[in-house]
Amino acid sequence: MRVIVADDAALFRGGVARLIAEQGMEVIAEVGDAEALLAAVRADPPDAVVVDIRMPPTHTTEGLDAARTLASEHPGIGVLVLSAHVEPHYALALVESDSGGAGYLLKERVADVEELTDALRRVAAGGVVVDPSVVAQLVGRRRVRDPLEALSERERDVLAVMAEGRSNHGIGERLHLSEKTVEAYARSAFVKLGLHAAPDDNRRVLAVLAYLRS
Amino acid sequence: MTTRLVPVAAVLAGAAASVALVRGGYTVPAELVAPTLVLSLAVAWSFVGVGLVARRRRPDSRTGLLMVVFGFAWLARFVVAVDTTPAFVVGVLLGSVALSVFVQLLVTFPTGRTESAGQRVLVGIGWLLSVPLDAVFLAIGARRGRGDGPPPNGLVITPSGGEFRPDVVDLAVQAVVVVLLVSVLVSVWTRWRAAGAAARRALTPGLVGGTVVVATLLVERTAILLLLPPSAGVWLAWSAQVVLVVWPAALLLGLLRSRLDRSGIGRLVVELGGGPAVPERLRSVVARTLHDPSVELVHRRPGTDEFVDAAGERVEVGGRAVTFLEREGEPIAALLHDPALTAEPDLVEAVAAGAGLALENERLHAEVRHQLREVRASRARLVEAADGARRRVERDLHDGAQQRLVAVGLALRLARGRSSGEVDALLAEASDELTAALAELRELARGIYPPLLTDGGLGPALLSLAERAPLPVVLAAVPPERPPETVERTCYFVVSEALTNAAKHAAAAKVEVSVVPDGVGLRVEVVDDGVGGADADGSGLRGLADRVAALGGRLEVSSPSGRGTRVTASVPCG
Repeated sequence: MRVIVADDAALFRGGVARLIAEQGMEVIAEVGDAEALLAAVRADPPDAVVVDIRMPPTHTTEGLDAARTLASEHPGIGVLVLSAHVEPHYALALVESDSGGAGYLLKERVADVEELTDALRRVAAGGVVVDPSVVAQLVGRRRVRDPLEALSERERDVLAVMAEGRSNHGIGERLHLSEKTVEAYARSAFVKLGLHAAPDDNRRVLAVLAYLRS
Repeated sequence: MTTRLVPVAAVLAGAAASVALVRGGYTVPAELVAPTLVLSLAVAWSFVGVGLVARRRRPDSRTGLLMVVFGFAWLARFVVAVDTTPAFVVGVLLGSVALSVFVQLLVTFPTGRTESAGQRVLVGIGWLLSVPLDAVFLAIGARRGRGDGPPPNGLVITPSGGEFRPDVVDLAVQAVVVVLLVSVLVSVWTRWRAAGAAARRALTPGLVGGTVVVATLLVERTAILLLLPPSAGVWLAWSAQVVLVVWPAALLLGLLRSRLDRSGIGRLVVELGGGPAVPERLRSVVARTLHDPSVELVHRRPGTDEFVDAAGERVEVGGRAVTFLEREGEPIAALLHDPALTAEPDLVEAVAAGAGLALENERLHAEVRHQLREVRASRARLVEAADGARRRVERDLHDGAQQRLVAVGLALRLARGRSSGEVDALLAEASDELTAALAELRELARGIYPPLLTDGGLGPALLSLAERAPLPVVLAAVPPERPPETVERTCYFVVSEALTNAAKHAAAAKVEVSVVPDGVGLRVEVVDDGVGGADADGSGLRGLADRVAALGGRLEVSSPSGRGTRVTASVPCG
């Protein structure tokens, strides 16, 4: 799997590239800003890119803008945005575009290299990745009449991991449950919340995220 | 003391005069007794009565006193009606005093004081013609007439009967009297012409009445020269007395008119207090008070001796009469007015002082307004600067400490790949600590300044606040358009601080947040259903109130005990 890493902090960028390489992926380019990233992608399209949300020149949301450009120019490339902000707004803006593989991960997750490479593989395969802390903020929000209280603990866990962008298989692996059990929990949770079963995993994730945000 | 005795004296003198005329020993035609007495008493009492009123209403003027004196002098003429030698002597000596007083009264009206050499000469001649001249007449042998004729000196107005044979002395005296009266008329006319509108208002009634009297006397004195029949002279003499009866009222009117101008100062102050002392308004109020529509108000350019008008054009202040408006002895402005107004320096100076106060007041107001603007601007700059500092701190934390800690985490991870056993466990422990530290740092940075507010605006930033809040927060309304940045930040921090307070102290089941346009800006409301009793002067809310006030808005906290807390902020946009 071929990856491009974009981050203006050279030390961090080098570290990420090295970790990925150690996991058997090929880092074909390391760049310092969004413009260089787009140029590198156009020159030699990778399977996935890792991009910092905050880069020169304005140090705000260049990474998100680059992801949007890539999604329209190269819908087949998975884009994993690394961010220091636990903000559902940014994560949803990224994954809601519904144009294929996109992920929003906290920067410090890269220290868990399996999580990083797993996320890269999922976005490269067209999946959605949402950082657990972002999901936790959505699930943890205090509500006057909280519909999530109707869910059992297990159903809630399944829903949360689902919101991170995982398939039933992935949820089962994470929660040490069989895929069938996950399926059953997911179905009952959807019924309790009044959600309709979605035709594919990505739509299911977006439906859950939208539900949690409302 | 004596003032109360004066009316009594006047009544007694009137009675004495009546007795003198009827029982004095001379023969008075029966049909003339009543008219003579009625007119004479009317003249005398009119002068005394009105003179007393004038004295009370205008104690600064001597006119009232002169009027009282005239009244008594008029009655004193009746001494001559007593048919004895001493009464004849006294009567002749006092016979013309009324004329002297009349001249003085007319020439010095309305102040009652001589103010120029010409006036002093006229008044002096007027007095020389009475007692001194009559004394000369006595000395050169004026004789008492027979007791069976009318009283001498024309006390009772009768035709002269044609036997009057004036000698040279008589003619000379008549000529001097005529010249004096003409001079008085000229003096009066000159004074009236020189007077401005304001002074004329006071002069006109008195001078018109006086002029009629003088003119009548003049015609009477020169009746023979004018070849008028003797009956015309009689008629004129009666007419002069009738005019004399009403003249005091005219004098009083004049005195009161200049007094009205004094009360005009009071109106001036009231009017000036009723609105801003803008130059045009100030000018028109002053013009009205001074009865001089031509008044100009010019301002001194600070630090120079130049004066400029309202349009900023330079104005020469030499041409017209000038009264300066001063502050601490320095002229700050000047009134250019009718030169005649200098005849009433008290009035003009009082007006100038009033206008000066208004100008000074307006200047102080302007200064305060200017300072207030400065303070507001500097307060807004302080808020701006504080926000800028917050953003820099957040950015420094993000690009500095957070970035380094993440890099450290990465290094730890790389190290773990090359370690084993005890070291690996220690590295894992360090990694966990680092993750916790990063989470804390992230929350700290976000609390200092949320980048989402700049990137996404109020809606996403408030939603993020609501999601993090440790109690249910309902976002009821957020405007779709983005307000100016300072307004946006202020609204955000109001909600943020109010939510923090609600979470800490209110024990609320929920909080409702709304931000809605209110015409001039945004109205932020954070309402909880908690225990209330929040202290609006607590440091957090106090700081918020200052922040909102810095943008010209208002923050209100209503927190009745047991009935929740409502924080309302009106933040104007621009």
